[in-house]
Amino acid sequence: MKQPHSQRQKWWWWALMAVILVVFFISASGTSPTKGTSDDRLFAIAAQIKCVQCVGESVAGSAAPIAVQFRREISAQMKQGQTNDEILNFFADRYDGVLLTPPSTGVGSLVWVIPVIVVAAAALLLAEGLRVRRSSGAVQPLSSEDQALVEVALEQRQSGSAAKGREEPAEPDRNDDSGVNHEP
Amino acid sequence: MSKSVPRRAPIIAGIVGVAVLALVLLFVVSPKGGQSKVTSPLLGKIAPELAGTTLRGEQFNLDSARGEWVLVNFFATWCPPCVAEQPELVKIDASRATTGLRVVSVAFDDSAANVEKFFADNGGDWPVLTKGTGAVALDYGVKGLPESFLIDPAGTVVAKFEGGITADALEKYVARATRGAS
Repeated sequence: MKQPHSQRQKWWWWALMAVILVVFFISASGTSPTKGTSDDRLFAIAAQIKCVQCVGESVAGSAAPIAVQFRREISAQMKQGQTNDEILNFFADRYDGVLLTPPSTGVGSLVWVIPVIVVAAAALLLAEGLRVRRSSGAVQPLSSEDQALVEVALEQRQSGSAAKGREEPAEPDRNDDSGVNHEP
Repeated sequence: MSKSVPRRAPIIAGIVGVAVLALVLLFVVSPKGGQSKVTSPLLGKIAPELAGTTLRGEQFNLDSARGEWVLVNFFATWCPPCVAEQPELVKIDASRATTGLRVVSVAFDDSAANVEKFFADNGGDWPVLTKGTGAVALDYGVKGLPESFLIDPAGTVVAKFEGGITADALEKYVARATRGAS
């Protein structure tokens, strides 16, 4: 049995969304390591800490003496078996606003929450808009009663406009370029 | 079915409006660049541990200085503002008998030989720590050099000074704090 066109379109839409989501989660899960003492892990942690002596640079990319000391400390704490969060908290406890990732508590958490709300609201608006467009696009056949009502209304309108035309004198043609002045 | 549209639209618009308002609020309350107020998570807390062998080979422990005002000064010989600050530290140390304020220096990312020459050239005769000081600087939350922390007789960090300090300003601060405490 052949599927209606709109249903096939819907299927492809959801399949595309699913592919995008799967790609997103795979790329997100394949990020930096969270265990061991590798350089990858060290630089991944360092990239989340602001270089306090630099402008717009993280500890990972800076050659400033304090950034070098930060990296030494991260390396030492990795060897001690500290988790990423424990290492980041070590620096956050000593330096105000040193983490490049906004905090997940307090006023700073709005940075995480607001985009989710906005995206959800936008998705709702989009879905609503699509639904309205789809429902308004479908043309329902008129019933015989409706057809009769329409005909009556049209007749009334035609007879009304004809009567009005007889009562009102014709307006002079303002685009007349004959040179005759119609103004009083 | 389409009657539900006018009911939902204001709700969604309201959600977006609240979100935008919250973003504006966040922008207003977040700290701006250029505000140079000296802050430290250490203020009002007991000073982090500071102990080690001094340049002269003596043992120093900050805990043994309880009952005195202590200025912990982080510096480096390669830092020009630190060179400019040294005469002020010499003044502060010279008036220790009257102010009750002692100085301890912590060399950051520097060699003992360089520090020794620095003190010989610029003056100063107080405990100087040179070994394992990188970790100490992180414990104190040092951002740049020179940077100093004023520790009261109870061992609490009461002030942080970024950049060079002057003897006059520091002595006035200590005198005011001492009067306030008594």
